[in-house]
Amino acid sequence: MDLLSACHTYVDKLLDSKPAAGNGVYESSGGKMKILLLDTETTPILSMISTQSLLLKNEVYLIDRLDNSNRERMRHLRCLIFVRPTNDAIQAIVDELRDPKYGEYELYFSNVVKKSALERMAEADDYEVVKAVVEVFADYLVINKDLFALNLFAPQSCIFGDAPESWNPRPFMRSVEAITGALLTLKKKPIIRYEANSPLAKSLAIETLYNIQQDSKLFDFRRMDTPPVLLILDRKNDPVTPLLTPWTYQAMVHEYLGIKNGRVDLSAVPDVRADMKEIVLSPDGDSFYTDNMFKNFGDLGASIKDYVDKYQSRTKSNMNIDSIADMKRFVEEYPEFRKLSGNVTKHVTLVSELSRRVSQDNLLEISELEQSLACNDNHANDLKQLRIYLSQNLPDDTKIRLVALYALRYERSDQGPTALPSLLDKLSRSNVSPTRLLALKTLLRYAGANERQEDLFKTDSIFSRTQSGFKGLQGVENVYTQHVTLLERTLGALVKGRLRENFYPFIEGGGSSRDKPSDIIVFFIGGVTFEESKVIAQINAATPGLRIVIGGTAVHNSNTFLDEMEFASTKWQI
Amino acid sequence: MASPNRHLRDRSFSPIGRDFLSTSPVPSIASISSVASGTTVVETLRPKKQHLTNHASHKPRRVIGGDNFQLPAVIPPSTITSQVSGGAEDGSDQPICPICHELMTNLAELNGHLDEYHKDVEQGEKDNMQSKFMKYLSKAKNFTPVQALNQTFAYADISDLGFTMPLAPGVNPDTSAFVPYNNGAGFAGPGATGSTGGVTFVGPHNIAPTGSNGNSRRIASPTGVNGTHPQAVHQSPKLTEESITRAHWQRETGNDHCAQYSCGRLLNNRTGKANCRSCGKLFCDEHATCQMKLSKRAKWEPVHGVWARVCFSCFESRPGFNDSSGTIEDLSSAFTEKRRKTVTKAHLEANLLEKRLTKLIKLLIETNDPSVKDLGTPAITGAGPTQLAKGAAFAAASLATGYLKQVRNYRKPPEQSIVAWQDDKNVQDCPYCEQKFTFSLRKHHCRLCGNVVCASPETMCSSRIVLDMEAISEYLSERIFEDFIVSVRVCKDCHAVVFGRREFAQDIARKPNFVKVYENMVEFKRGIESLLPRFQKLLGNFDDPNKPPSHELLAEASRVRKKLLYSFQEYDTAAKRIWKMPTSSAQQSKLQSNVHMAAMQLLQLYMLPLRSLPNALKHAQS
Repeated sequence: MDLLSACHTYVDKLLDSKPAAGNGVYESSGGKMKILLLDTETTPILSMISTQSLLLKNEVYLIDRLDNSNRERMRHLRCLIFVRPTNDAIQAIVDELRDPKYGEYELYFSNVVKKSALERMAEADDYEVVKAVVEVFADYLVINKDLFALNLFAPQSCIFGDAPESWNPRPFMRSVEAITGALLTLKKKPIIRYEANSPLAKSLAIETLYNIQQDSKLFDFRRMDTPPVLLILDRKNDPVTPLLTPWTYQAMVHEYLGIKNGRVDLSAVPDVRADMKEIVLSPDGDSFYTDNMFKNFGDLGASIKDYVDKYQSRTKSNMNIDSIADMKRFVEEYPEFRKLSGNVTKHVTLVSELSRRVSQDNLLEISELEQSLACNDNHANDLKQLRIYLSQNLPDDTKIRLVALYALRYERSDQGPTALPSLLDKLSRSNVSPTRLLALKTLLRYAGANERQEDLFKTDSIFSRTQSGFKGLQGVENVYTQHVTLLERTLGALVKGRLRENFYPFIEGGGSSRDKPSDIIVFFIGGVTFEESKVIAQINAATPGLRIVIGGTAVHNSNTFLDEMEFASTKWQI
Repeated sequence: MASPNRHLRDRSFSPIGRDFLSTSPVPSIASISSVASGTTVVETLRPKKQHLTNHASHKPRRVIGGDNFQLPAVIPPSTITSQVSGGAEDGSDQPICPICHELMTNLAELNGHLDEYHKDVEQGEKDNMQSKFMKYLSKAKNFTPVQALNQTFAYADISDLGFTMPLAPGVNPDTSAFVPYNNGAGFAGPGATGSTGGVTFVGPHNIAPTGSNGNSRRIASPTGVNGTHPQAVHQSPKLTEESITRAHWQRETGNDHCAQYSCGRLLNNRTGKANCRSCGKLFCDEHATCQMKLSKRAKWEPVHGVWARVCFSCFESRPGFNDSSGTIEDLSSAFTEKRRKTVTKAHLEANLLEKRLTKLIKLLIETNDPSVKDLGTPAITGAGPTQLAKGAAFAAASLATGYLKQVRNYRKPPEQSIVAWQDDKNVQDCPYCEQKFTFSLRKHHCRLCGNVVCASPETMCSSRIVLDMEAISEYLSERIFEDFIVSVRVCKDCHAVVFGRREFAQDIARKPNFVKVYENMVEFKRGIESLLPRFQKLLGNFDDPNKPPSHELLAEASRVRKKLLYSFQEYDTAAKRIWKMPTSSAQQSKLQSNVHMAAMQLLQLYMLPLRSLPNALKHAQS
């Protein structure tokens, strides 16, 4: 259940390179120059699982878009095409084959190719230039080894239709295809459960099941002791997690800088080095990041210090090479050392920017209030704090988040969110943009207590920590990370075979099982967060025999989540 | 612990139901009974597993008709002499649950059903049920044991059974007497049974067959074959973790360590100790927390096994568990298959047009120069057609305007004999560029398909092709007209059909200079890649600081190094040459600079460390 290594087999197939044997440095391939043609979606997909230098090493010297009509005729090249099997792409390939610009072609598709499409392409291939047609199922972005996502963001691909209960058709199909692709990559034919209160989840479950049944030949996998479970969740049942200030490395970078397709744009950061304006941040091949992406900010500081020290001692020892032993070590370590030097700079830049933001935006205090809102029942105190912050000079979104948390938290409490009108009033008077205020109201309508199916705020907070029942997950007591995501509780119940069927029914006709599942695929409609991905990674690490992969229509931070709501408010006319 | 049989309940999940139903055409008794050893029986039965059909579950199920069978006498619970009548061929049994009257597909399922739903039935009812069962089972043993057998073994893992298979009923009716056999949970050690006849019963009565041809079967799949005691069906406890063999368990010595590599703790009451049910090794509690389904022989059995506690490495080593490669579906052969039709058609078409062209040229040459009589088929070969510029054609034509007319006149009949020309009147626009024909945009005919087409030099809807006259020029007397004479107007499509593939092949075969350099470069790269590991191995010999490397070794090392450096240099030169090659095309220059970049990447990776080697070698020598 490792998406990254599974997708690496796809890249190997695509590049026809043998999987790295031994030290993996010396491998040879074909001796023929290649061009790689991609489409708008496979470009980021591939960039998440491969690197420019890997492509170059495998003689892919040109990369272009399939729909670029200005490509020159270069018959001495072999052409690799990796695209999603959309109608447009198939048509483009047909046109290409009728008048081939390159000497030979290998066609790779990121999902199931329809029979008719295959026929059309075969009919167009008069020159017999196609050497291979392969379906690889990397139809999603691999963000971590256990996290996949799509880029279904508003406004281009807002997932919602005209109402919170309906899908926008294209993102809907895209989600189904991503799930199908992920299942095929992982070789799982799951039974499907979904959140009963979400029509979105239900229709996604039905369509996914239909796809699985359509391609039953592909889904003919070895039976395991218990069938794997696909759990389809809806963001509306947990609107709180995306609103909270995150404190782990990956999540923080996404919250304050934004990770887009594995890249971080640092151009807005003050005093940043020219070569660090845009950096690649991906767990693929970055061991420091892999080790620390889920560490909280405090531990991260210590890690980065060690890392820098290690680098400095290495630099020193590389200066004087005067024995064979030194030499040998140097020969062996040199490639890694080169990587190291770039990496150290990168992470130091990132961490120092994060730490600048933490102090600049008063994040510690704010986070404390957020956690208190999310986890404790302390209306009077919370409200007092909240009012103080609202009158301070904080970013608009921070204020919106705090008010949203307050409103969600006390919506059902005895007192009720009595102060909400006055808070909203205060917000609007403090020059918060009216559309953002509307987003706040939309959020309450989308994910308010009436829309949710379970008690999101377990008021008995003392017990809620043990609720999930995963051992070793609650690390050090920390006031900033008290909040336990709903996902963790849900999974805890699922793993024990105690997930309630009235809340999480099996999709009809897709089978059911009361056995405790050991392989689980979770999909979040409305976007997943890195906080949740962290939970999954920790559960995976702490529980041998249990393997979970999580996916979502997008990876949200608080900003994109509110953007989504803002856009939805124009659609839903609230 | 979940009920072990629970998973059997759900029909859609358990293949048993479908399995059995789909095997309804039961092999005749005779065929089975003739089989001497059990394994062959099973082998013939096994493939059935693959023919699961969903439709099967919709088949009407037959209910046992009591009338068909003679009711047996009441059978004493402890000793049963099995008397199987021979007339069992026609039977097909469908057990019914005696309590809720639900139809079952087979006895195994019934058994599971009883465990699942009726385990709480009061003792009094139990007795009642027992008699019902006895009745039913004695019925059952009077017919179709073969089918029952099928059902039992169709899903049984053979390696798992390890004992002789039951003989067909009726073969030795007298010998299969049951005697009480009292044993605990660990009765069925591997191989403990075997040729002497299976002893695999757990139940209140613990009945086991003895005799030369003992019957054996899996626990909890009492099939009513050959005198199974009816009560065994109902009362045999659920298949539990207890029923998995423990013969292979590591014995506790009081000084055991957790077998988990990373743990290795001394096992005591605090750490807890547990045997992995699968490999049998001892672990501390923490490292034996996984669960998987095992068969009685402690082998992984994902479908019909029982949940059992295992260690992580057994859990992990299940086949397919750690399969980290993604699904890849190769459609190449399907594609080629589909393409074959297209290609054959294209070939045929090309052949047809080519023939026409050849014929036409032959005719034309003959008409033009009657002196050439013995003209072979002019070959349309090698260099292929070149397109005649319009101007040149004009020039040639105007040289002999009078002759031209003549030529036209005597060219027309042979041209039209090849293919019927389309009538001009019906065509208003050029079929390719869709321009209207006018005084300046004249109508022309493609000489190969006969269609009307324009001759606009911009759109190139049609063009004159001139064949390589080298091959046939010796036959021609008037060289000045040679181009003209055998130039033939051909429309776009026909041109592509006749020459497309040929042109394409030529294009591929023509290697631009930089491709040659690149291939050269790749050769050097291969050299480097084969030398480097050798070099590293040599360096490996210098590992021991106490034993200085021998002179020969050092010499060898520096020789290889020299060779490597030379390859690097050549590689570098080739890369630079490619980079510097002049080109007018943006993409081509990008290609070249990327080739260079890749080469630099490789050099940086491999070569830089080598630079400092001389020092190191010297150091070692001193």
